[in-house]
Amino acid sequence: MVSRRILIVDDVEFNLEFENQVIESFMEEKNIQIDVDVASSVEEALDKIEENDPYDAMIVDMNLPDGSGIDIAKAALRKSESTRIAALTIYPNKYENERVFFDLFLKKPIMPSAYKQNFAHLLRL
Amino acid sequence: MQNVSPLSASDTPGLQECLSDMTATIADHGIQKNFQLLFLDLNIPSHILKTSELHLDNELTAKIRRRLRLLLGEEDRLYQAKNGGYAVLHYPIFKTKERFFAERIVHAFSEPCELDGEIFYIDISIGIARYPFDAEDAQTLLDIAYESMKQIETEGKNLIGLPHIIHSGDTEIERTKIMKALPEAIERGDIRFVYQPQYSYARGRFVGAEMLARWEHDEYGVISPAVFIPLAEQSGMIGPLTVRALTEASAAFKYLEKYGHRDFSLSVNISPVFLTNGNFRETVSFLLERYDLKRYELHFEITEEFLLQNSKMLDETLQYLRDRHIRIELDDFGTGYTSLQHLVRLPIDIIKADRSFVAGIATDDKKLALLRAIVDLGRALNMEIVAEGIEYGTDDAVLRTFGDIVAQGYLYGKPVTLDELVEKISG
Repeated sequence: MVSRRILIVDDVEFNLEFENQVIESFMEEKNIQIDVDVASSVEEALDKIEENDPYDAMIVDMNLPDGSGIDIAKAALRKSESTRIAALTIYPNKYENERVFFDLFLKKPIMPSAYKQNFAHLLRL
Repeated sequence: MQNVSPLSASDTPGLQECLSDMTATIADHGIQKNFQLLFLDLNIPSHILKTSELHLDNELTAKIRRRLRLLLGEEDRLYQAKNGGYAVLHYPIFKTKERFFAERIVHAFSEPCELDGEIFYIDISIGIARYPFDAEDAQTLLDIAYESMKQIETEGKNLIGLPHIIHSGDTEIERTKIMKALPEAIERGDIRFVYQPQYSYARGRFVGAEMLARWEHDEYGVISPAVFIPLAEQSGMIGPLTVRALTEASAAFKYLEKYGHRDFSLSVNISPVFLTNGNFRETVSFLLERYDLKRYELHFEITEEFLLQNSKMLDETLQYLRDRHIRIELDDFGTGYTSLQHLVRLPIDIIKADRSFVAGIATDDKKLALLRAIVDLGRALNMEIVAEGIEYGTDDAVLRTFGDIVAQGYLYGKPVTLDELVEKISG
């Protein structure tokens, strides 16, 4: 079975829970295994990146209380350039200059169908 | 007929044809046939435009057109402007609200687009001109639709502009501000839900509640749902807001169950803009499965406006919901234009008699006669009746003589938090 390790970062508890549900539903549909780590701040995300083997992919909220998703993307790419990174933002078209750090921009608030479509793309599935 | 590849630009007529079609409709039918001209400007992210080659341009254009065509009614027609924009000649269904069609377009474009391994979002601005309301000739209508689009584009993305003659400048700006604050409010859970209890005379207890959205904004204060729900519909946010309501319903059902209220329904208002969106079923099915909603008594409240569409899709969607044990309530019954044929044909379980037929029945014989007719009609069709707007004991006493009715109104409780609801129905 295909398996992947990912990190999702969001400071809103509801969003983490919702993303988890969408990812579980995605796993059932595609019959794959995805291990999900979560973080709710830049600091926590940086710790997770530091402590663990490089993640296959990350979905990072752009607007966190202690900084921006860009800081997390930079740290992840320093650790491994092969980590695929999605930015989660209300304004996906606002970040033209930051495109180098991200593989895709995912629109918030999350809807299951769009999230799954983006997710498959992010994981190259 | 000319043989054109589906990817070529030539299969979509240009603005010149749009003008002649409008002129022909006006000449043939005059003001007997109302229509809207919509001008659409699409904002494709610049990195997609920069890198894309000709064959990808064509593919993107084909995808955009397909997305638009799926929304067109039988008589509607799509045109392509030279600047990359589109015009749509739209014949609205009788009495649906003015922005409904445009809202469906905005909602459709809130879904991502995929091209050559890239996923991205297209922002859209729409201007509307209405015949004969805004102008009576084709060229002026086109100019107005274009100007409305340009005007609304200066205020933000994914907005719908109507000619300013019907809005004062201030309210329009206020609306735009509120609309911009919506995504974050939904996303961060600032929009909360309250519950208005419903009491069954026959069972002598509370049997359910209607969920209503409340938004208290730090800067703008309390914003009425009468203001923000239409704005959510216009900006593609009604889907996410409804998802929020349904996940909240899931948590509420579990909470109620914990306090021993197993046999209790929750009604969630479902906007026709969301219900007619392509991802509606997938979203609902996700929520039923992952949020356990299929275990509970979930009701969807729809308005008569939705029934007016009279399409195959409507029948299928309602049947889809019924197959999943979601009960359909028809809200504000009696105020709109529901044809009796719809009522007979469609899988509607409950009709909600509008407050205007309920408040005052104790003193107004004509009102009482109307309400009796509604109740009899519903019962003849095997539907349950919910009566809204019960505020006075005198009306309540009359209503009780009708027998098995579910009562909703201030007399039985105003909308309250979940904790207060549990307290009320337990007491």
